[in-house]
Amino acid sequence: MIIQQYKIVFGGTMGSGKSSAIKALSEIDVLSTEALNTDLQSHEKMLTTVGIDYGEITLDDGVKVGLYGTPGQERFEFIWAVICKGAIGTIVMIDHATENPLIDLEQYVQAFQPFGNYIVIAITHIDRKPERTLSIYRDWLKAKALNYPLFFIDARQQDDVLLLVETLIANIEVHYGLVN
Amino acid sequence: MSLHQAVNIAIFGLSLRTLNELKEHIQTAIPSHIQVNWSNIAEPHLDILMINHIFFDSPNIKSLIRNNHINVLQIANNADKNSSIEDDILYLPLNHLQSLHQWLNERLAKNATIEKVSSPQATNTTIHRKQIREVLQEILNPKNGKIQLFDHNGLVAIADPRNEWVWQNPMLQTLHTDPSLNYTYATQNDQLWITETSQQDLKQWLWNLLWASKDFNELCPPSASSFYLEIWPQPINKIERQDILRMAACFAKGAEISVVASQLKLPEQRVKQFVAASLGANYGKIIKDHQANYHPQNNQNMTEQHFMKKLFGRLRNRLGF
Repeated sequence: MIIQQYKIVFGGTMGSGKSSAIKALSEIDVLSTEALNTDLQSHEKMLTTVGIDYGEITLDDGVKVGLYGTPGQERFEFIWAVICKGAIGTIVMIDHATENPLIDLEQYVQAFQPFGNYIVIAITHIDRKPERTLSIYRDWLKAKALNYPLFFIDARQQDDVLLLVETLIANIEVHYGLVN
Repeated sequence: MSLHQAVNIAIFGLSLRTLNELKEHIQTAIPSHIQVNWSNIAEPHLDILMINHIFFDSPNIKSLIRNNHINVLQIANNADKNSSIEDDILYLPLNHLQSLHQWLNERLAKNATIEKVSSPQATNTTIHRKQIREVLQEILNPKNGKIQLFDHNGLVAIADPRNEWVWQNPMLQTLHTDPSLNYTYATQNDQLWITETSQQDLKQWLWNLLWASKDFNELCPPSASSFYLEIWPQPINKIERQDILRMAACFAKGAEISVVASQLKLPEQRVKQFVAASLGANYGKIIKDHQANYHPQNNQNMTEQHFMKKLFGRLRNRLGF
């Protein structure tokens, strides 16, 4: 596995769009380790990430920024620490259409908080469950006294994914006084 | 001192199409020195109510009319009597406007309740800030079912505050409104067109509407010095996205407006515009200066800071933002 010095981590539930988001940004073919999903109770997706998705962006001085999609299932939790160490930030992706997205959100936010506070939350597939209001996520954050950026996106749309990355960057720039 | 007249008109229970047509016709009939305020029936100083005759006999409407001395024009369909007004009932379809113009002019001429506003600018601003805040509160009030949002240009959107959804008028070419923004109850006809329009998150839509409209800055009180952002806006304007996200990042920690302006090298007015849109969408609150926690870290050495600046600059450049 390639571990770049600079990296952005995409974590979240199975089928939340991590692989699509990395594909939208990566300049190389995304390396995915997919296998037949045997956990059909959680999600109906036939193929799911069992290892790590990897994509990359090369800056004009040759520096590479790795894009890592962490495994969807909790049993791969041990990999998260390896990936997240030194990451620019984490994008937590939650599938709005799953049975209980708030449990997923809680689990993933808790899992990634120890690795840094630069977290952006992306809610995907909002069109698949239009009867469920989006305020549940805002209410959840408020109840936890958190104010992480929370966006509703389509992971296949490059501009939506760029918004997530730009938010991470803006947060760091502002924090370290790197503006202008 | 400025002197102008205003008339508060509410239209209730009509289809969206009829409503918009009627509004256009009314605008043509009213002299230009009189400002038309499109109101809802809850407006305490309503001058004219135009109402679908089906609803005229409902107890609430009767009580409203009896207690407020409102000029009422009922609207009914009758092709044989089209465009005429008999006993304060206007018959549709409207093929000519003569009767409507006459009715409006008679009411405006004798209406002693038409508000004559004569006040210093500061008072106007305070009153107006209060009015627009009340409208915004209703747009976000979870007790409300579907409501129409309109301004002097016509329909802006249908909002569902209870479920925090909004359907933007597909005819609206750019997301923009002005302080004439108001609301009334949605009709059955609205239900039809919104099924063919994609629904959006109400709060994010409202924030973007207020931001794009620029003239809601008075929502940020002059006394506001520091602000805490509880909910991040999801900007739709790509050109302004960088500034919006950086301001959001500062205010998410609680920050002084002047510090944000200075740190981001932005005019203070632009920062106040962000605070105004955020207050209007209920995205945060004014805090005391000592509660502001945003203090940019400048304690890295120059080499480290220069390196990080270059890295993020190149990343921005590479990703095109």
